Amino acid sequence: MSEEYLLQTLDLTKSFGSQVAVNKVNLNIKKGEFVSIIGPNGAGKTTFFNLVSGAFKPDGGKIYFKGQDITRTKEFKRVQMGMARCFQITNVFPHISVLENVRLAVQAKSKNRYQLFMNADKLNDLRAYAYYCLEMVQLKTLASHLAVNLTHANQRKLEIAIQLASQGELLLLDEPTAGMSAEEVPAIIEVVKEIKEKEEKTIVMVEHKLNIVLSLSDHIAVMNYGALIAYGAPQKIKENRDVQNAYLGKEVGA
Amino acid sequence: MSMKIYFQRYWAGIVILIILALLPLFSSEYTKIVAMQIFIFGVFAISYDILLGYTGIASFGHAIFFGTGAYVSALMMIKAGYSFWATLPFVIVICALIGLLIGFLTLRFATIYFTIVTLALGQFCYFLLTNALTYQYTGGDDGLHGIPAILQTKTQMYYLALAFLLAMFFIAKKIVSSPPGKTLVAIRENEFRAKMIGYNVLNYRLIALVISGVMAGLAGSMNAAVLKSVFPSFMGAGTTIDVILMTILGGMGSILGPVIGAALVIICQQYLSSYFEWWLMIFGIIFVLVVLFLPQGLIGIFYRLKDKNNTSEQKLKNENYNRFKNHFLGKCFQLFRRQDS
Repeated sequence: MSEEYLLQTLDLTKSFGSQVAVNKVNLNIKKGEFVSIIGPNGAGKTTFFNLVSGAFKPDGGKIYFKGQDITRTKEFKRVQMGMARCFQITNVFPHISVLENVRLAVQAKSKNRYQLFMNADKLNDLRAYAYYCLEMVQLKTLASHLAVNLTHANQRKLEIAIQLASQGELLLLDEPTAGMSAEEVPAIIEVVKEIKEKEEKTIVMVEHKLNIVLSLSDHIAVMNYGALIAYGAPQKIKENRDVQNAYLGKEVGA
Repeated sequence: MSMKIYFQRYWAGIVILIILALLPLFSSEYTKIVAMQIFIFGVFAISYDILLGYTGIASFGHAIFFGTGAYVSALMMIKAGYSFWATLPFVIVICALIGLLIGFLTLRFATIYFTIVTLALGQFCYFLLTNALTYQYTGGDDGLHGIPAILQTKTQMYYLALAFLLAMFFIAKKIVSSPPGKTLVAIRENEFRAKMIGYNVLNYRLIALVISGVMAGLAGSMNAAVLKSVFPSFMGAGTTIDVILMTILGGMGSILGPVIGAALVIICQQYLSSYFEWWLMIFGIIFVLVVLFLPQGLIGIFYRLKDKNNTSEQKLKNENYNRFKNHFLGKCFQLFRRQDS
């Protein structure tokens, strides 16, 4: 497929029983872009992420990453190729320290990951990079705490730190602000902004909070009932009637 | 690290080592044999701890490796005249291959299925040894006898077994603090997430099983050399249960704990059994008490003693450690519960 795009999906489809969760989604994302996926609950956004990251196998369609067909590639290989995701429902290593959570993600990409006779704690560059990631999300002071003891907001930050530590080119952010109170949201947004500006990564983000999406994204994709119903620049999406209907739920009544 | 700090931190270990080094000078032959059994089963329990404590997979057929090591060494020495040392490379290769084979067959679902399949494989291997068809090679229920002595005296054997335990202890310590060792803990904590940050989980579990299997095999060889005979019970479910008891009693996920567990189980086996006919019942009570009140195993006592005169940072570390242990033990009991129903 075309080298121009970092991530491409072709008629990507996944159903659970009779429920079609993702329905023939075609999405092309260029290198360096910030794309947000919005849509009502159950629109298939997270399932789409699960397909792209390899957690689920698609029923139909193809996924291309860096021009290579990765439809059947195992999830860990996709990470090794340069993909990294975080989870909507916090998914960290609970009884391991915050630093070690991040260090493990750095280590996964290190050439020393199979070295049986090296002391992992003495691999200083790995630890330094882990600290750098923690600093990005302002968690450095909590490095020695157990992940399970962090507050929800801090666990979300840890999610993002783990994702950064994977050093992927493509970041899949699944609702970084999920379940947060209004006063906790800006800190996370700051982190996402900083990543966007400093790290020059390609970012795909699922998010509900429209004001965030509109201010950060280059393009916005809108999903409803598993299908991609609109794709375009933020301003266009805002004016799109289908999008307004999907968000206001007019389809049911009309 | 300066000598002084080194001594302060490890004084208990150093004292125990000195006692163990001097023990043969004033002990009976019988005590030496018991001590050697402790060293050998200590290694066996360490190997099991890598699997259960660190990787979080419960094998019910770990005696396969122990028995294989013992029988490979015994057969090669008795039937083919090899020296003990020459058999060890074969033991390592064969146990590694068995580990790979079992791993490829079962590790994709490293849960209760792994446990059940290893139980079945263990029983299969046991009956393979005691079968009429293999009698001429394995000696059936009688086992094999007349393995030539590898060293002249019991005392020399004692030091060899002690050196074997120390070597395996430090190798195991090295491995669990290496990058793959840390990865094993991550996989145990959250397998899905480990995959999603780019770890090939199957590879790491295979590494753990192969290392654990080879270590158990070497312990088996050593046992054959010390006892100068091998029995099918080496491969039996009873041996597996013993090693599980040692690991849980001593404290899993600590490498040192299982050695303490091995010492306790073997001392109870050897000495309680001569005083009480019903020693297993007493042992059962000890086991229940330890599980109820020392969820981290016997090694938990040392952590608690250490806790008293420690800085707050160290205290936090210990607390985290306890929490993790309790969490993991809970998971293990879930495993056993599921098996009951």
